[in-house]
Amino acid sequence: MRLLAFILMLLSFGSQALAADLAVTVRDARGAPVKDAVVMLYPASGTPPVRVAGPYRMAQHNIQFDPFVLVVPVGATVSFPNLDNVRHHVYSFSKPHPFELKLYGHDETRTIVFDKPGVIALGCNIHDQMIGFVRVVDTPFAVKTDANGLAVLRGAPGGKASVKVWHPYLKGPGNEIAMPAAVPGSGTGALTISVDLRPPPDHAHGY
Amino acid sequence: MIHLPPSAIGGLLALVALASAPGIARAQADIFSRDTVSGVVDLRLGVADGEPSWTQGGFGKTRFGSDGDGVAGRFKAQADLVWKPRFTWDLGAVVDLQAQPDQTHGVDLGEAYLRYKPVPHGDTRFTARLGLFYPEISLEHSGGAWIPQDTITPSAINSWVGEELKVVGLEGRVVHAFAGQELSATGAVFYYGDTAGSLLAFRGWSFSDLKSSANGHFDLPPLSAFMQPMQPQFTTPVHEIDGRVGWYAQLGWRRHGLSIDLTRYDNGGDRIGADANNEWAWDTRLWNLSATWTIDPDTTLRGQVMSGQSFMGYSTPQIWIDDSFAAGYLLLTRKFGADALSARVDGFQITDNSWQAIDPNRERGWALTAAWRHGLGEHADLLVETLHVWSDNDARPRTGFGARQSQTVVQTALRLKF
Repeated sequence: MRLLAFILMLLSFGSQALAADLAVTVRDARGAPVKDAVVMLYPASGTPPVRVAGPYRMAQHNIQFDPFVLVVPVGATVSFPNLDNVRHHVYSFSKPHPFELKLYGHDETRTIVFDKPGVIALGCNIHDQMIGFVRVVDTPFAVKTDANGLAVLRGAPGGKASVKVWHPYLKGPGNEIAMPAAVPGSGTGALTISVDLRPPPDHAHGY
Repeated sequence: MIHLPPSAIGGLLALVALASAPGIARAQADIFSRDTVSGVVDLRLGVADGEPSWTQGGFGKTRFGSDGDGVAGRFKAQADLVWKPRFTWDLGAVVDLQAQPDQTHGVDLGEAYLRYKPVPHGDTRFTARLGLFYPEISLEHSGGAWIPQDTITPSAINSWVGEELKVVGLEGRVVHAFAGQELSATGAVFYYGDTAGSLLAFRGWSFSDLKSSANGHFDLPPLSAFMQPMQPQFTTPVHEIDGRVGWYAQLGWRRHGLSIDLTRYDNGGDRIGADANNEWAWDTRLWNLSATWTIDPDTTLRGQVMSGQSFMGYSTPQIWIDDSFAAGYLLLTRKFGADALSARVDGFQITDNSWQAIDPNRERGWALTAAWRHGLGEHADLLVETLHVWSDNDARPRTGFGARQSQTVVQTALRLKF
């Protein structure tokens, strides 16, 4: 029995020793850091199920979506609090989950459950300049880049993997690129990915 | 045929608002909240050399002018009060009450229309509006107050759009998104566009941010002896004379960083129709091509070219007015944080195809504009602009000036927004 416990302990140490962090830096063609890119890692040994924690929140604040990009796991419940005094008419016609929310001012909140992976592009029918995105991911290893273009994927199993980078203005099919990567057995691995970005879209002038 | 006079539109919209306030579920309507009201106050200081402005009875191309001898400085203040009630989540209105004290109707409606904009449920969306509005031709103007964004003075093309292309109409638009691109198609039918072309023929192109008012009129520079018996010394820019419907159609394409719009406009005027004041229904048609290129997130290049014809009056044997007009501009804007620098080059011309000897209208010219916009927080912008116009106009000697004139205007505008 002790021997079995010892073996289990070894195994668990072993599996811990095989997990590591991967620090991914995303830069544009000019070498400038890219903020709000979503970095997703899929281990070759199999992708573990996502963990839904939360709370997940896409606020409307100062006539903008805040944050601009929100990363959530499949199955997440996302709240849409309106922190403005004015009303917002939030909608998405993105295929994974089309919806429409009529949000009066004064901190009214509604929630949506996103049960399919994909990109949810958000708009406001009253304020055309409001643009936001919810990236629904099917891997527990998904983080968006900060102002320095850095995303650290923690506790990924060592070995071969596939890394995907998505950004709303990235040039590529589905605004996404994929590449092979190697996660070290321990410590922190580093990877720099260069992407081409388009200028933000110029929407048809509306009234 | 029932035509709704522009003066009635604002009242009608107010009536709809009042009637709907108790009728529509309170939850849906937002008629008079703070969110529905905004405005701009524009305090302006201008210094100009050259001939008197067309607004002072001359052929001067700009809103500010001198007496032709020396430099004159002027102060102007103007304002827009914009009301955007929402009757339901999909149906609202835009009403712009404008104050431009140097117009015949110093306070008047600028635009007033109902807008229908349902939430899109797929890649195709539909919008419509009904009332008094500008066709969306200008790449320079924006917002409910319809004000140039990065300069004080719009290009020749969009100065004229502001003066003579406002209509009372019904417009529908379909926008289809696919593969990161958007295609749009717009169509409109309208009345009250009958006198479009009068200012181009009798004055030529201009550079001014004056917006036609719903009920006002613009004075014309001195007319030729040939034209004096046929045309009053003014033109009413929002005016229905012949009862015929006009139309315009627009096709647009845009993708990341690039957008292109092509517009065809035809006011459908009966050129031999006149009202009791001898204002005529002009027959004016034009093409306009607009393009915007976002070179990088801080740098934008905009350009428009316009080409059209205007006809007015009987054939005796030549048509009294038979003009071809064309203009174009390129406008480069670069943002530096809260500041934006803009540079624009304009070219313009009018070809006179009838009665050149006794009623000359030929014109050609160019202009350079440089503007600096400085953001003073959320509620104010400071703009400084210098505008130089050179033009050669065959009608100008009527005022004692040579046909070829150049003029420089330096302006500063403090725009207070609420």
